[in-house]
Amino acid sequence: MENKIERLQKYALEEIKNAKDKDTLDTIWRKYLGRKDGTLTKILRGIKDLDKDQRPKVGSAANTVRAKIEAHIDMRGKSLRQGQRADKGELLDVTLPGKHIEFGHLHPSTQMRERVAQIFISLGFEILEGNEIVSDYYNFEALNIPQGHPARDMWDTFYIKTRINADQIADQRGYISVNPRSNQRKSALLLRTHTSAMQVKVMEEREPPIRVCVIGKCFRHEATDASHEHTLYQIEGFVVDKHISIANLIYTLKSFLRSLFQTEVKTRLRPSYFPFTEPSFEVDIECLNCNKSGCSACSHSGWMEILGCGMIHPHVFKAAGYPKGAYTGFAFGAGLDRLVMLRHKIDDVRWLHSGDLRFIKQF
Amino acid sequence: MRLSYKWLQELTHTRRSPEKLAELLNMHVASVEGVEDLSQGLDNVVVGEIIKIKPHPRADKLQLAMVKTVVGKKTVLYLVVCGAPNIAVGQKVPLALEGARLADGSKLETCVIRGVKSQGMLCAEDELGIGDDHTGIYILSSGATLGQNMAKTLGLDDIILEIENKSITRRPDLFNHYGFAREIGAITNTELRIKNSELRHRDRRISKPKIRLDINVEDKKLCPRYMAVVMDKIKVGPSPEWMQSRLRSIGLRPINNIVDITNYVMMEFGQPLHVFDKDKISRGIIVRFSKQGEKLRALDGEEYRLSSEDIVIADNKGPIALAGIMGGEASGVNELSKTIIIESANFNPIYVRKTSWRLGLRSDSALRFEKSLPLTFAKIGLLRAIELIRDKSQGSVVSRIYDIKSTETARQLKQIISIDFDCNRARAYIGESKIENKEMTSILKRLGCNVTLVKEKAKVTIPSYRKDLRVFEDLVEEVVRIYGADKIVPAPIVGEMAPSPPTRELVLEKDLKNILAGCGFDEVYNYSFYGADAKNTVKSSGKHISIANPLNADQQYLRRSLIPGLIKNKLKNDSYFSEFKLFEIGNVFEPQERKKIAGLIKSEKQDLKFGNKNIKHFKLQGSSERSEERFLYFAIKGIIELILKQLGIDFEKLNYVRRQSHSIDILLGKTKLGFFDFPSDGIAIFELDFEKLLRFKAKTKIYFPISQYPPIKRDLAFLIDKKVAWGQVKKVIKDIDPLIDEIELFDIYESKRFGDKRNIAFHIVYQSYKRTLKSEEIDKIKKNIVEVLEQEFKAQLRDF
Repeated sequence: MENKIERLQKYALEEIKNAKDKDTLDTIWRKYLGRKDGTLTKILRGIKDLDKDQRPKVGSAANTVRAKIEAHIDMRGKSLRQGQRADKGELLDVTLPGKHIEFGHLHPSTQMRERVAQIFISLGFEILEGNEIVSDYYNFEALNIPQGHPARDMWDTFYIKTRINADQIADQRGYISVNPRSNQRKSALLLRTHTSAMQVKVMEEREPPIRVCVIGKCFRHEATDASHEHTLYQIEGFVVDKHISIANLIYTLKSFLRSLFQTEVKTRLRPSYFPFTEPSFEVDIECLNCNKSGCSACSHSGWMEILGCGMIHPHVFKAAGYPKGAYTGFAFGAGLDRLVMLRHKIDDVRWLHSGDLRFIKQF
Repeated sequence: MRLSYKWLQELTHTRRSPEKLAELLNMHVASVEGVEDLSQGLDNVVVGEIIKIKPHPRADKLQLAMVKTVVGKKTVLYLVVCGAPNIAVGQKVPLALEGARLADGSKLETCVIRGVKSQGMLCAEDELGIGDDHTGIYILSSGATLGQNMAKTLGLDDIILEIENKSITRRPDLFNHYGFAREIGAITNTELRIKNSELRHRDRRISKPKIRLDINVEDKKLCPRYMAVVMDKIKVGPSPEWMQSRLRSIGLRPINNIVDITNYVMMEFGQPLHVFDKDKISRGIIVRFSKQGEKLRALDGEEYRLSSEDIVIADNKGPIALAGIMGGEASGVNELSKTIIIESANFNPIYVRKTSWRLGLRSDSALRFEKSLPLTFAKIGLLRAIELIRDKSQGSVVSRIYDIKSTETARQLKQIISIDFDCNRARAYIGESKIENKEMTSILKRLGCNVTLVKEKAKVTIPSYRKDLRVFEDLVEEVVRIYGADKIVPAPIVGEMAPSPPTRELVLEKDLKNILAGCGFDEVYNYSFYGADAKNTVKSSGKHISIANPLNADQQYLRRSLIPGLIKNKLKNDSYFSEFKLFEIGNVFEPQERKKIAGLIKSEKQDLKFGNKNIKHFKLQGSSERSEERFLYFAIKGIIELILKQLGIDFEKLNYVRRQSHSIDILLGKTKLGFFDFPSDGIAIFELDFEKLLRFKAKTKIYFPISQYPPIKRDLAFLIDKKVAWGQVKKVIKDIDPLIDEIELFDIYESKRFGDKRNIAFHIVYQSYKRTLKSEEIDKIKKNIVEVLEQEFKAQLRDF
């Protein structure tokens, strides 16, 4: 008897599997489970005629098979229904767009600022922003660029016209824009041409060890074109302590560049000139665009200028009021805009201040 | 600056290729912007000789020239059609043959001109790329070698290394070939072909001066050193071919032998010289400030109006040259000049720079003087010029060599500057222990310093031409750049590693940006400048800071508000997007510099949600009839409330005060946080003060317990006078019973049939933290609410 039930299950499941439509499934159901002539129904009905000791065994087996057949018919029915829908093409146009979820886009420069800031925070740097209006003293003189110094040509400057008392411009953040050391309260005010204007300010306010990174808006008096902007963002870093060396500078910059580009980039240091560092270097990285084979991005040299750096000049320490020879330090500066353009392959710097959402929404 | 590879080769022993030499200079001295092969482009242009000329049979203005040249070892004749008037038999001329590449990049092809096949072309200056002249064929000297490539004949078989001037700004000693030659010698550790000592020996006394020259330097600060000499029996004419070609290759136009020598000396040793025709000068020479209103026509043919801050060279009639910048036309040398004054001076760099920039008159001379030239250069330059003029027997010295200098100059010339150089300290500064004493001192010697080393300590005497070396660190720079910075092994900073968490400002700025981006705002960066139009839209009464030297009138003020920038962005984006939200965080100038955060919403949708219900028919009290504005009002307020809520500021405590028709101030207590406004159709804007948000921002958000018992929510609706603000109603209800946990408006409806009243509907959430509330308790409170509202506001309960 039990063999018979087992065989029955085998046939039934086979038939269900091969059923192509709902009608066949109904027939199968009637054939095995039909109230009148269902094969299994008959077996169940006949249990009472069996031997007493046989009854529970057969009953349990028959009921299990009955449940199984029912479940399989159900399952097969469901899958047939889905299949039919798909066949008729009424299921889904999978190319339709998903529900529009509104989300704002942060400016690519903001994203780069954040990236750079995170790296320097991890290297133990404090991130500052500083003021955009500063005095000639902090922007130039304290950085060893006195009036008439030819190096002033390197930075074309916007000067402030409205006569405002410097105290009025000093804000709650405490960055007074005049030179507290000399009594002349008349140092011309200007829009900072570089974030280096924060160096002496910070050094005046605290004692080494100092590790500071300034990221902020700077201004150059020059006409704009695809590669020049009068408004730009700069990253400035400086470290002051008792025994800071050129080797430390190189190590720190390499760490930064490795984290920024997330790969070991090949660098080279060329001699350069900044009045506030001695020695000064220009750091080039191997062109990321062409793998050193030469392309327009690197003016076919295989190298790209990425930042300027050097050891802080003793005159800068003097302006900060540090005792002679007490400290050494290094400083470096890079253009944030350039990093943004490199990263996203942006070919015209003017997009950054365009306010054009067709641009912003890409990031 | 253009450096001639051949010239550098002459001065040094270098065998490096131009590319290798460029690389060497790039890594150790200055930025090399490019390497240019001058011979590129003149292939197939050779020296030819005209042997016969006859008229063109079919054209009056054309001639046929038979030109002889040498190809390989064979003499070949070519028939060339030529239109230039200046050709003659026996002349040597540049002959371009088929396939020749001319200066403009074009390729010459054989062509038939009026029935005669021209087998080549005779070239003018412009076609050779050596000038602009196209009036005639460029006639070569009779010594030119037949068949020789023109690039070689013109001395253009040279390669130019283009040095970025900015990278040698602090090295006035490098604006010439000799300076670079010295650097190459120092890097490659080889001797130069011409040594400093030879230059000193050129100082030969003039025995019998014939002519006396009166020189009056009025203020020695303007001109620390003025040297001059008079030479006569001058024969002005073209320079020899080699000198012309050398000047041409570095970008200077040959003029005549005298002017060319001054330029040659400047490019060789870095000292700008000027030559006056003595016969055109009235009496002596005066160096003085110009007088306001004086004018000078310079050698470039332009007339310049001078100020009282320009240094001029004058005779007793007026200015004859702009000191250190350019000579005057009237006193210049030409073919008729017989007696000349050669000036070799040192002018105050600041004045030269100022005048040159103010007049927009940049010259090779100004470029050098404004970098502050070494005082010794004046003498080197003058002696070299005399030597060159004499060598070519083009004149002889007839005055003594004048050398007018201040006592300060005399002191500086005698001064010996030495710097203590502690080798151990240098190694520590570099962070490289491997670099030896000997190596460091050798580098300094190669650069021209005198070094005496006692144990670890050196005394380094600086050569006169290195005014940039004044402190220990300067010497370290010299050592490092010659040694090679790339050889230094990087080393981590050893020191205390204190944590440096991001500042509160940085965190808040990031938070605000994330909140706004989360709300669908796109971030823009705008300029800090705007013009008068934008300025007038800023409602604040305070003054604007103006820029003394704006790029244009539209950028003459520093922004007092971020709003004008956002409005400009809006106009720009209107054509591409029907709806958007923008924001900017940036500094404004009030005139104090302050950070602001501002946003703009442009929307056409008119949906508004209170609670979970969309409100369709609602008028904002007292507002204009523009319906979209009402919706924008709530949209912008919603953003502000969200920002404050996210910062942990209790926005229920905010007050909104209407200032002008649309502008609404946002106050927290008595402090104004910012405002919002509806400046034009379909847009709403807000601006908040960053510092104030920073002040009120909760440092940490504190957990508020959540009740374990179920809340009970009941709805109520009242007809209530329009003048009664929802805030008042809410406050009164809130005070009725502590079990009232939340009151949430979900509908507000105005209709003519309500007269002066409006319908407000809200949920009340009752909540106990101690027990499950019973229905009877709630009914009791509800009854209380109805009574209070009837009493206070004459409100009528409405049934649902």
